[in-house]
Amino acid sequence: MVRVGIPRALLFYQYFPMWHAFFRALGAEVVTTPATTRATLAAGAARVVAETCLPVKIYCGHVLDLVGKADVVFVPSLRSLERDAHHCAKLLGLPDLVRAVVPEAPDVLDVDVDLEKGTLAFYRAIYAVGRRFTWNPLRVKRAAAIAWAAHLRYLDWLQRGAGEAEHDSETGWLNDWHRGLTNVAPLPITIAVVGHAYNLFDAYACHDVLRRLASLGVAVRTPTELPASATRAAIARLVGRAYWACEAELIGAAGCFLDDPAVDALVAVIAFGCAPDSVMMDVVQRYARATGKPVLMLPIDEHTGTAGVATRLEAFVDLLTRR
Amino acid sequence: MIITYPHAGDMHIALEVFFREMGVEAISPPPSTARTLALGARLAPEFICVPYKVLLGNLVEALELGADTVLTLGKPSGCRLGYYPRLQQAALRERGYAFRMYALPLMNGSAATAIWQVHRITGVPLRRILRGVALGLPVLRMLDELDRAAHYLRPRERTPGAASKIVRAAKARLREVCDAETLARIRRETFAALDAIPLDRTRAPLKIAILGEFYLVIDPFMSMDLEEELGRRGVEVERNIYLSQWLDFNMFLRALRVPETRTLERLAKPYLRRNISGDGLKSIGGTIRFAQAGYDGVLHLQSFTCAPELMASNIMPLVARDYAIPVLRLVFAEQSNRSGLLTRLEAFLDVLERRRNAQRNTPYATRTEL
Repeated sequence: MVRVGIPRALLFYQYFPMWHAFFRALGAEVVTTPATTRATLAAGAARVVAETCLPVKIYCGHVLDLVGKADVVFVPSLRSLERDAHHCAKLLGLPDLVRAVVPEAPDVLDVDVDLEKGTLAFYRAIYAVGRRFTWNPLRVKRAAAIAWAAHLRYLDWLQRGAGEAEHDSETGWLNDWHRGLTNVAPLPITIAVVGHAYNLFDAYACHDVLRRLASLGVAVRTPTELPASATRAAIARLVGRAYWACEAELIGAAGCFLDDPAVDALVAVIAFGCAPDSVMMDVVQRYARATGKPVLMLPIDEHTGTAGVATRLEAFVDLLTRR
Repeated sequence: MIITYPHAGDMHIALEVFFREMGVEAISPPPSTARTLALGARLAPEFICVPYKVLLGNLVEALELGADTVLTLGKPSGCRLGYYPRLQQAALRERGYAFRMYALPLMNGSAATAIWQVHRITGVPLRRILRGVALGLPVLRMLDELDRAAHYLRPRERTPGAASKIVRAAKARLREVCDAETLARIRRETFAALDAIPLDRTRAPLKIAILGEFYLVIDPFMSMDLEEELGRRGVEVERNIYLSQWLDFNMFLRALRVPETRTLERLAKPYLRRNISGDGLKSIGGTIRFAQAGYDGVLHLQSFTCAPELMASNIMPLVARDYAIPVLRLVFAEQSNRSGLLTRLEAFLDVLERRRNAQRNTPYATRTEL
């Protein structure tokens, strides 16, 4: 059985159940990596140019973790999911980056997802991945259908607040995250945390922002609970059209939360040097000024200290309590 | 209506001619200076790339001069450049400037769409716009020819600075061009003067290629006069982007489905299999092309946190190793200073010089590459 390695980093947090179901349906074994640690980051950071963003360094660390544990490593290149909205260069070039900086990595299994090129090109791309495991196009098609169903189930589960009842192997990793966060008891303050899923749900990368806030007696909300229709409407309100494929996680989510009277303030977790974040935060901060809600911007990189993050969060919550 | 546009190398000279011929009032922003950058940086998000800050500063300075209509580039995909207009508009509005901004979709359109847009914005008849193009485009071509000539002459001239002086004077005269005859005369006189510069033909200057992010390669302010500095130090430079080439591709060739980068894509394929937006693919492919053409070294220019160039930089060591060409990565941000740049350049030139001498004295078969 072919062992497909999927690094626990970047788009893992959005698509793992889908990828997992797809490769399982094709008869492969799926191997993933344990949560990020200091060692993962250090190993990854040693491979790339210093100013590369934290999530990409972490990604390289996870790929290194898969050496010897997987036969192929699945590294997709996501370009666009809708017309005119693209992912950042780092996600586009991820397979090439892995080949260049982690030469000892297992064979890289890449796929170009570019929905702008039309559905036919997309089906071809899926089939090209499936070819690795079977010659039978129908089997690939069936696996893709199973994967899509798994993805929809996962989105639905996220939006319902990621309850514990459905804890299973596919989604267990996120369940851990939401445990204790979804208590909607009437807490005095509600803070929405926005940012890319791979920043928010990687406890090591963001210094446990979500749980740290929860432990300060704050109700925490995250972009995962928002349906795509709501974030799309918020993007239309704030900037017209999405330019980045990840615009929903930052501008979309921030727009929803800033307009939601139940939310008192916003914390934005952004990676230092992240190109889309740097421009999207400008939009978010301008809109926050208009709505009068405070925003705490937390840039993270490998030099960010946990104590620094904790102090800033405490000060921010104190400030909100006094308001 | 008074039109303005941010700087991009010598583009403003051609644009002034273009708008004058069209009969539309236009002001170029004052030349970019430290003040421009400071003005832009004050209104810009902290971590954005440096071209954004300079361009925003250009617009502030042009609006201060009374411009009320801004033309800018719109919509390449995947790189922050396509996001510039949105942010610039919001930042300038917040500062209380009244203006209209139009983002021309030059990078995914054609001459026809661009000209039609200019027609819609200015209301000038198409015939007059075409007349403007017919005069502005040759001016732009001549500006690039001047740069190419200077690249060749600077390291070889006997009196340092002679070529730069003539080129500067010619550029100043080109701003005033108002008909084809004047242009022809300036061209004749300038090239005669350049031909008359006494050269030392025994010199064999180092050849260095400059590539990387578009604005840094074409704009001397952003690259801190890198080309002229290298020329002064006796280096022949070549760059992979010229404004007229870029414009030709975006206005004409794309419509004819001529791929901009087919050769570069083919060269880059073993290292980078897909276009990663921005100029990343061109930097990888370009390095290989220059290595094959026998250049001594490559300067890879990029702005701090530029994602496509950063990806290229991560892959670049493999290219440099396989093609045995030294590549120096030069990162620009608003904090960069000239002495830092010069120190790096000096060290790099020393390396190239020694490397060349070592190669000359070693039979080919036993050469050890750096």
